[in-house]
Amino acid sequence: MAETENTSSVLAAQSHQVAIEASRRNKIRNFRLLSMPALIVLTIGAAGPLLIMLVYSFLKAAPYGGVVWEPSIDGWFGVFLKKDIFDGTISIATAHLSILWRSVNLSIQSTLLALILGFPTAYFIATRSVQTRNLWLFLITIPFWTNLLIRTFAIMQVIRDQGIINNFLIGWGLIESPIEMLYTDFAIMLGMTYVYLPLMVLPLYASIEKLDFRLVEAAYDLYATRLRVLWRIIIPLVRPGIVAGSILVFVPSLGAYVTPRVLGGGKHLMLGNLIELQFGQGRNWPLGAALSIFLLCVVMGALLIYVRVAQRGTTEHV
Amino acid sequence: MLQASSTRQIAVTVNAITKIFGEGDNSVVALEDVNLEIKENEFFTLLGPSGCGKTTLLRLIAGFEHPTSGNILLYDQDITFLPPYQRPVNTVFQNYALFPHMTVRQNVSFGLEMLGRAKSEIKETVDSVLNLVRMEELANRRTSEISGGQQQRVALARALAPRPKVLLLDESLSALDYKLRQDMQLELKRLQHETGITFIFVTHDQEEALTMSDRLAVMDEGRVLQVGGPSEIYNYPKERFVAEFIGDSNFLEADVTSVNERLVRIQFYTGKEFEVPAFRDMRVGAHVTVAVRPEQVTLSNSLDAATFTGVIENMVYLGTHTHYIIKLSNGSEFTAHIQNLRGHDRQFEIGGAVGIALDPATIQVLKD
Repeated sequence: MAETENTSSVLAAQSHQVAIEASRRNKIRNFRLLSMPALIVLTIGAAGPLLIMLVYSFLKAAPYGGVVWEPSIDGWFGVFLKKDIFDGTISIATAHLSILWRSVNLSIQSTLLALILGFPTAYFIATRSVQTRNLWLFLITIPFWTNLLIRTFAIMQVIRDQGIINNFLIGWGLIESPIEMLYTDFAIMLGMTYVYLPLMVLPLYASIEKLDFRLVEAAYDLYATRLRVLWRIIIPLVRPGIVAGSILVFVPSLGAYVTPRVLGGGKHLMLGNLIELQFGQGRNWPLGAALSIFLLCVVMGALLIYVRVAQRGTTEHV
Repeated sequence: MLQASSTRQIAVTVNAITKIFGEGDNSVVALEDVNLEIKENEFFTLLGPSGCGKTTLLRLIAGFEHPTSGNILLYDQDITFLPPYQRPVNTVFQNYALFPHMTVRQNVSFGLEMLGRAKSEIKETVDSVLNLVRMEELANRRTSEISGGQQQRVALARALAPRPKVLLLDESLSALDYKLRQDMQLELKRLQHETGITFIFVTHDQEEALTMSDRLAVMDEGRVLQVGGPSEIYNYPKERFVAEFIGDSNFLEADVTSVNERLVRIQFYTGKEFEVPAFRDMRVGAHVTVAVRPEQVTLSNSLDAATFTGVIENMVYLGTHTHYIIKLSNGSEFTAHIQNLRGHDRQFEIGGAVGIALDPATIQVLKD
């Protein structure tokens, strides 16, 4: 008797388990179905063009733009090396490397500056009352409403030789001749920081807002000064926000096109401009395609390293 | 014993503290002219319902808030406006507030690290404190991997590690289940005894306050109503709120019939008179309320000698005691808790008339 009761209860438990499993599988299937439209758009809009780029990078350039359907590695050759037109000697494409270096360097600088400016801003917003927070977040997102080009030209007005800053400084007699800011790396860096700052502030805000401020009190109570609370408690706990914000600023900075074009004045190219050049005046689509894929690899590599480093910090503690 | 405790040094002096939150029409008075003296090595409890200001007072002592007026002394030092990280006072928070990104050991070391102690000293102290709270085996666990009771111990260890002069405990046991809470009550008493640190404990649980405290302050609506030892508070509540909040009480009206220096005579509506100690100015003819504990009365079948008479409305048998709800002849309700003795059961019945006898020593006259 007891045994049959046991087996029946085991059976019941099993069938219950099976039912749970089935409903879970059903749910998964439903989720898949729901995500189909997005997946289709992503495939057509992102994976497709990437594949085309990848194929183009291994083809020959047609004389007036476009490609000739003939396999070639000229495109990839051009990314790293260059051939002298007169004597045919091969040397490293230093121009491309210096552009790569400038792109990475300026992107890192912009990300850091955005973090330094964005962190206090996000902290400030997250510590306001709930109603005021929404107002501040609204203000942070206002720049998104204006065209990027117009905003970039606005910065130009601020930093050019006869711009607001220089006029102000000269007017007060602080400097004699204008400080050259426009068409420098600094201008590009400043512009990118300005444009992408909201992308830093929003994820930072999201993580600071979730921060349990009782932990901050506990740290104060345990003899930690303000700076130490920031360093030992707040920053480690909002690390996910810092990581997300940094990625969101770094990635578009690396491929930025409009900002370096306008504020760098064409003298200071970044990877985005170089790629545009190959598809435009350069009439070398395979090189442009190879550079695009190369940029993608750089971004992925940088992210991989960054996330690895950021995670090492977290696994030590969390 | 009393003398020994009165010669103890005063560890914390709360001097005329008033705390008002907000401004103008929206302002809320959290504390109103609070005065307390908490002695060294004392287990002192702030007891009161939620919103009575006990946690605010604790936060003022910890330094998270500053008073609107008044000051707080730690021994001879005025700490009223010192930031929390400059006070040798540590807190065990209600939700423990353990750092989630650190292990148990890292949590407990934190305070000592911030004080800039040497590495070897930190290790030694942390080991001994973890040993004290019996958590040494889980030292390398993350705080999310241990149970609520263990988190409680870690929070205690973390607050004790820097050897504060005063340890503040904010409703620290309320999140634990009943059994664990009783264990921790004993544990806390043991820790306080072993460390010799002054404990200030905040709770809304009167039973907890009575069992754990050397002395306690009963608070309500931002004021301290009474300060004293557990038995003093229980047996001699000065105000109705205290008598009501701690234990059960019957409240009875009486008139003052005569007054001399030490004693007053009071008369109940039944005409029975008692002489009780006078603790304040009372005039003949004045109306007073007295409190009588339900377990300090006797019931009998003889109605003539009784102070009050009534009819038993309900009775609840509880093993050691039986609770009687009695409707008095003037219509009010009276509760009596009578100890059960073998062979004397079924003495009274629901609906039966009963006499209630009071002993003058059990009558406590309350402030209005």
